[in-house]
Amino acid sequence: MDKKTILLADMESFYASVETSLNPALRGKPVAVCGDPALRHGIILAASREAKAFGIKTGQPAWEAKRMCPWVHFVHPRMQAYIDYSLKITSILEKYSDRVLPYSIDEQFLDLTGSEKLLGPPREAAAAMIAEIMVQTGIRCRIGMGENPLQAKMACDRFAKKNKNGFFSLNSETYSGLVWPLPIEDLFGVGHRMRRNFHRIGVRTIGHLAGLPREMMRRRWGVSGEVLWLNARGIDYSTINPGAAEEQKGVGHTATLPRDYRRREEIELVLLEMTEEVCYRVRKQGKIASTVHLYCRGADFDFPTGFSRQKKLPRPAAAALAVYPTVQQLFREHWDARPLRAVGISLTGLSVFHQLSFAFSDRARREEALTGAADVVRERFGKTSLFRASSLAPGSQLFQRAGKIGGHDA
Amino acid sequence: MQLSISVSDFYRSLEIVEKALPTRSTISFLNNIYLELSGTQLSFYATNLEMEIKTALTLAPDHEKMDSFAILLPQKIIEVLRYFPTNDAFLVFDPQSYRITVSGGSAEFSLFGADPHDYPERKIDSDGEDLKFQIKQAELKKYLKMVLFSASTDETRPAFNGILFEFKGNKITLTASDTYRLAVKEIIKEEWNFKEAKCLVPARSLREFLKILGDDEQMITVVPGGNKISFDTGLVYLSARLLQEKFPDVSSIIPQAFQSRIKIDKKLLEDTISRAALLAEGKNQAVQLAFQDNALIARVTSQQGKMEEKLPAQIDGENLELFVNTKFVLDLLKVTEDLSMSIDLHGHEGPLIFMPSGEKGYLYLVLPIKKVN
Repeated sequence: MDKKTILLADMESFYASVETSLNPALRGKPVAVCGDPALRHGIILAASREAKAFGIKTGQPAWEAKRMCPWVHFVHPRMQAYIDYSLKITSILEKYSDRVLPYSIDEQFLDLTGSEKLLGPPREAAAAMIAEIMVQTGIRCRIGMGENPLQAKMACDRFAKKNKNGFFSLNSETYSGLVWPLPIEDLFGVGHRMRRNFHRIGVRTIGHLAGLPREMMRRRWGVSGEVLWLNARGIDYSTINPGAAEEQKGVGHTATLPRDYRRREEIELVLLEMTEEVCYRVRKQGKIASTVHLYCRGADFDFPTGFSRQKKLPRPAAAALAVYPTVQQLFREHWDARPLRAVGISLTGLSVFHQLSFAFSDRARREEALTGAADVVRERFGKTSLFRASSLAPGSQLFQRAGKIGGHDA
Repeated sequence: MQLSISVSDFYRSLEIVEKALPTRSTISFLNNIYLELSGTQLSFYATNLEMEIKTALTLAPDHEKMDSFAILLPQKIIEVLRYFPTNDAFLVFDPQSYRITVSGGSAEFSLFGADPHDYPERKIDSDGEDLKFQIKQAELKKYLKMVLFSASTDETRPAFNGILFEFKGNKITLTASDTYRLAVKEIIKEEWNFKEAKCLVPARSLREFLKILGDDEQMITVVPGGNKISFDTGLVYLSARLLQEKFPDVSSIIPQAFQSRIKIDKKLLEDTISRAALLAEGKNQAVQLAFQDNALIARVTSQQGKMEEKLPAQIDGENLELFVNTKFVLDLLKVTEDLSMSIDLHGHEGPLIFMPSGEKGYLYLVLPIKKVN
């Protein structure tokens, strides 16, 4: 098989860079994107290069960032703008290859295999992409290249980000010499827990892991252990094929509550509002769901409690009123009456095939029509234009959440 | 108390009443079989409070002088007898400790029975006599089979867990639906003359009942009345508690005029749909059916791959393409023996009505699957 040429393009401090691009007055200044510092989700989502120089990191509470750099500019997240920028970058990359796969909002894979005659050496094509993205969006992009997605990701994260020109290339020959001396936590797929596990068995570098027998990894950690071993050797069998992009398995939504919720009525109200929203998103895709999943996390950090349970719906549905009884049933069965800090609902088993059922009574048909009409009203006049009266009760998150994407301001 | 029994006869009786044993009852003595000897009559009885089954064995006359007695047999005895080494066995009951000893050949088992005293009252007769009717076992079995598969097993909507029996004049109509499909069978007998009445019989009890019913010409007596319905074959007596829910009126959902009528070979259709079902997956197990130009084309595209098969069909009316659940179609095809089938179509969102050509007074409506996008 011919060697492939896979690139991973990563946007530096993506949210902060978009903000700077939209507001040139921020250029060269420490910028941190974060939710409302007064509320609990006031954590840093992204920090500009200048802010990072002060030690500000993603995931930090806002107050801590303020202490490290009192003149940091906090900006509210604008998720819609980030999505627009991400799409714009995808369309730039699509000029270079028809195989572009967005991996996250700020990382995109592309397959340049066989385009050498057209674009010149991949190194030059990558430099052209970096330049074009800078000119069109003002965002600094770093590109890692390899013979498979894993090598590209390692090249990008471990080398290109530290390189002045923002480019680095790995291949099967150079992989061991460059990657094996790195500490084990630098390997893609190794988190805190795996690092601890590896340290326990004396594996401190990626090279140590590559030297272990594959069988041993399989025995100890199953398939995921084997995948890490392959990663350590620079082997990855996946391909960039956007056509075969996995069909979305489910639609879900999790939110941290603005304070600990302890009353059943309040929690159930939030669950109803979330059911409404998740159902709406399933309906937008023209689908119906067969399973609902409820997630609740306890408020006490030191004694983590909570549960994550799923249940099949009595019949596939995408209307909140049809889904909510199952949500409520799951909640009442599993909640231990302790305060909660986060709740989440997801719907899975999505299908475009709707088995029709007899209209023995008019009720089902009328409910469906009502749901459809409410969707139209909300699309046109906003999510808060038409809502359940219960959302006026204390604890409602509807007005908080309206106008947000992924929990952050749009 | 000592009985000499034929293991196979005893086992057969136990196997019949076993169908009424609860799957998991909190009332522990219901998990047992009630056995009673009176004269030479040995009767077996079990109930899950939803249905009850009774059957009896007549013992050899030399048992005549034995005293009447009753005992609760543990379910375990059924398995013990299934694997018993001989066909003749001695059963010994200890009326004080309720211990049961089964011995024969090289084997001896000692099992723990229970006190029959706590067992619920076995009042077995149903009230009303005016809806009483008789029908051949094989006939009733066939008709029940043709509607039972349409009943729902989803217990959140109990009305659809039942088969509706409607009586009027010389006609009984059986109806079952799970809201996705509907089966209706009319049975007409000249000798019948019912007042207008209806009752909803739990499908679960009837499914168990089907396993007991024979394929012979023997008559069976059915007595619907009060809050239960009873079936008496002479050998086996079964009664089921009626569902109190209201079954909806289905007359409005059966369309009067069709858009197209298809005539098709039943065997060919069954084979094709069975093959389509190999690839059809997910909850809906959808197959696309295209009725056009005197052919029926079945197509499935799924994650497993795709298939297509064309078979001859006589089509009278418009061409039509729709999706339908393969299981729903096969459920009917598996129970009917007719050689040809006619299907009425009513557009993309209306029902397909299956009519086996040899079966008068039978309709099977299946609603299609709507595909979005």
